Amino acid sequence: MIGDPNVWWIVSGCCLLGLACGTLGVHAHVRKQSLLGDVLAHASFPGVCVAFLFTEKKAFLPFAIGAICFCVIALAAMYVLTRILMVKEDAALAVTLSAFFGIGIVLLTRIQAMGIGAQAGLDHFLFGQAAALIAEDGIVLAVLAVLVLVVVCGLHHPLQAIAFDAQWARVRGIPIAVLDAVLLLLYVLCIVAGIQAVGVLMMAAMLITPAVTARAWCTRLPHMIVLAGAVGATAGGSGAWLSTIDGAWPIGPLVVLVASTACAASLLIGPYVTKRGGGTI
Amino acid sequence: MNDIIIMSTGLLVAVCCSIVGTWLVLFRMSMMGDALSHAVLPGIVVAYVWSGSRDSLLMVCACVAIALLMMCAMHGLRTRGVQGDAAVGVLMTTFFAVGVVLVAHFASRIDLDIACVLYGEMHYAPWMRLTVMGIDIGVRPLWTIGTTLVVVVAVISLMWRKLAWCAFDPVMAAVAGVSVSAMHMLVMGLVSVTTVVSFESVGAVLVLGMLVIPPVAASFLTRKLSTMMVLSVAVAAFSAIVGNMMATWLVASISGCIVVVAVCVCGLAALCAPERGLWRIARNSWLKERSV
Amino acid sequence: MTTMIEVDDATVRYGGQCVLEGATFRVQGGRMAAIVGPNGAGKSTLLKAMLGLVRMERGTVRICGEPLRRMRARVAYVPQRSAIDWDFPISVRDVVVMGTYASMRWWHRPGAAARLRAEEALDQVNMRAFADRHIRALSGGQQQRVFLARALAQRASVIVLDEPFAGVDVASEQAIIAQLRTLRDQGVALLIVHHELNTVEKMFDDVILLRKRIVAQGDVATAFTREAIAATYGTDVPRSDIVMTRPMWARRPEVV
Repeated sequence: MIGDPNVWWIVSGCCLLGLACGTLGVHAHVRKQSLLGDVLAHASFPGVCVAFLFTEKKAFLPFAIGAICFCVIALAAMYVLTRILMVKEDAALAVTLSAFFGIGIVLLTRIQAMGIGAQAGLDHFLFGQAAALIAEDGIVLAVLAVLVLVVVCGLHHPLQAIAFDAQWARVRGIPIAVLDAVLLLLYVLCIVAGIQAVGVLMMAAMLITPAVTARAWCTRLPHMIVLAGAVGATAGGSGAWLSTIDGAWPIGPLVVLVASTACAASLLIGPYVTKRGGGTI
Repeated sequence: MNDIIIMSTGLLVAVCCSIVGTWLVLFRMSMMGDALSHAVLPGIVVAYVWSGSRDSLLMVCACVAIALLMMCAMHGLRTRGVQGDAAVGVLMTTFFAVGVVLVAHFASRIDLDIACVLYGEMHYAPWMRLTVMGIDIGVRPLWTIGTTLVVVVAVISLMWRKLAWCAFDPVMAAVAGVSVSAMHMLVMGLVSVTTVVSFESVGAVLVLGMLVIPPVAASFLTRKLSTMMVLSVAVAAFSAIVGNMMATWLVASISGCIVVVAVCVCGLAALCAPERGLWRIARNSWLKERSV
Repeated sequence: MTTMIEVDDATVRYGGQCVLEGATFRVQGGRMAAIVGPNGAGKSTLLKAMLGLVRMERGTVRICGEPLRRMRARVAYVPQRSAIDWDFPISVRDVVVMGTYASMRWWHRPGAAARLRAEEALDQVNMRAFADRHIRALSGGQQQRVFLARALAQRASVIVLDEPFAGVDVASEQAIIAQLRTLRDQGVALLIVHHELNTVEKMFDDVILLRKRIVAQGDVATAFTREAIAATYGTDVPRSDIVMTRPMWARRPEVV
């Protein structure tokens, strides 16, 4: 089983995905945007469905374009709801998330009703499926992971400045809007690459859980990014490997459970967890 | 006849969710609603495997227990310094992952499709019968959701003033001797019960849309609590009926269509609400620009 | 002395409501100026407008005679303590190193020289021993000193501070004041939002009294008068709020 090249692709693909998501997730976490990943994952689902309606085949590029379009619409909706219509943040998140997911479900059931032959794989986007990963996806994930690492390492200092003290960064002349857009684009790309492996519903955990785990052990951003990347990669790899043992178990939930176990353990024994209100950190 | 049953199921679910959802939004706990709707899945599966049927009180109890467990875990994470939104994200995905793994594991023993988890199977409603002592007494979803609706309406009208106080000014309410955390638990309890009984009709994710979209649409149109509640129910009822027709026409998921119609109503309200709509805001700022 | 900060006719509106109107003032190098005014008078807005954080409806800002755009590296900003996320995973040293970004392009990485500058800045505020601590592990005063060190590491000629003494113990306040005075004597222009009236005269050279528009400005001795304060805060300021450090007759004899 270990020698099976398919298993190898699946495990290494999920490993790379975990690495990319864990690394990016730290930035989402320190900017207090943990649930943004969840909303974007749900929002990208109708995008994937629309892309499928047009192309009638599964391919990364049209899916990415569709997902990016819908994520942009979702972000715009969030902006209008919270900034102009003054809806509370939590309600705006919930409305956007469920609205886009509802649209996605209508499109999905519609596509299924149309009986397009190749649709068989589309509902795997909800929970992810190990077998859906092929060599081509592995290459996409590898490129993505490298891209994320280059951006996060190369732009570490400005990104840290923006996350820590955005006003100061603005006074400093750091182009916040450009860097925000770069980060958001990377989130969306990670989500698109990730939803066929772990599914729409589990994407949020890929971004959030490694960061929460890492925060229990680190008090500096660079350390946190390294650790979260490692936690994500380990969870991705081992979850994928577990799912190949018993083919009936979907890959996404297993990856999430591995990451959650690590998170729970870290919150119990990590050195920097119960320090609310002072103490030496 | 079957169409009427399906439509009334959708109507009852939407109305019940919108009433509970109004308080969820007012208490600013919408994402907790999201988390709860995901988290009840393992409860449902465990109760199903244990009792072997879906029409049991055990299922509601198991889910309320899971909801309590989740709120304890939430408290644990918060006291360990995890930000609120991150805690919601971690817990929601963990509980849901447990549920999905359980569904996959027991797939041979229980009749719970993974698609049902996501968007329910409202179109099977007429064939889900409730039998008491061997006698078929009618459609189960209608019975369960109807009972829940009665309970929800009764509890909320009894607690109306306390709830309103806690939502509006929790500090003042606490000073006056109202237990704010008890009111929070009450709302969470109602949400979890509603989620459980709506589960087989609308699924775990779309129930969130039914909970929050109608009240948010209503909040654009009015600032008065009682009016907001009425409007929220009206939006929910309208989207249930229109959504049902849309689903038949499109041959798509009924619950998905209900949510989409609710989104359209919400968008329309956001655009043309008389006082706080986008159109009015844009017009006001244009007038101000011109006067300056 | 050269004029370091020139603000002309700064006007800001939030949603149609005017929060700052026609603010015009100058701050010279080697002077410490306080912005004083009641809550909601637009003190922080004035700073933010000046720094380009808030869009001005009209008005111009010049730093050392040049538009702000070109002089960003010369301006340091110390935000309000409440604007900082104290749970952010960052060490004291990393905060101070941020100050050195000013002299490099934003995508460059700080090198050994930058680290050295950060160490020096930490030495100046006596915080070297805490360099590897997390920012939450410091007292309020120490936190403020770290942010001052960040401004020092930037080697700015204009330093703008938003309520630097809020939630700061007396010892740290003295240390911060001493450091600010040293900077002033080196020719730096300091602009500080301040909320305690009774320390204005002791601490500052110039004062700007603000209530949507500038009520009075200039040298503390001439501008910080009883009637100017009354006009800024409304007429019913309790006497105990304004403890005059000099007797009334020594200030403006004609008032008495």
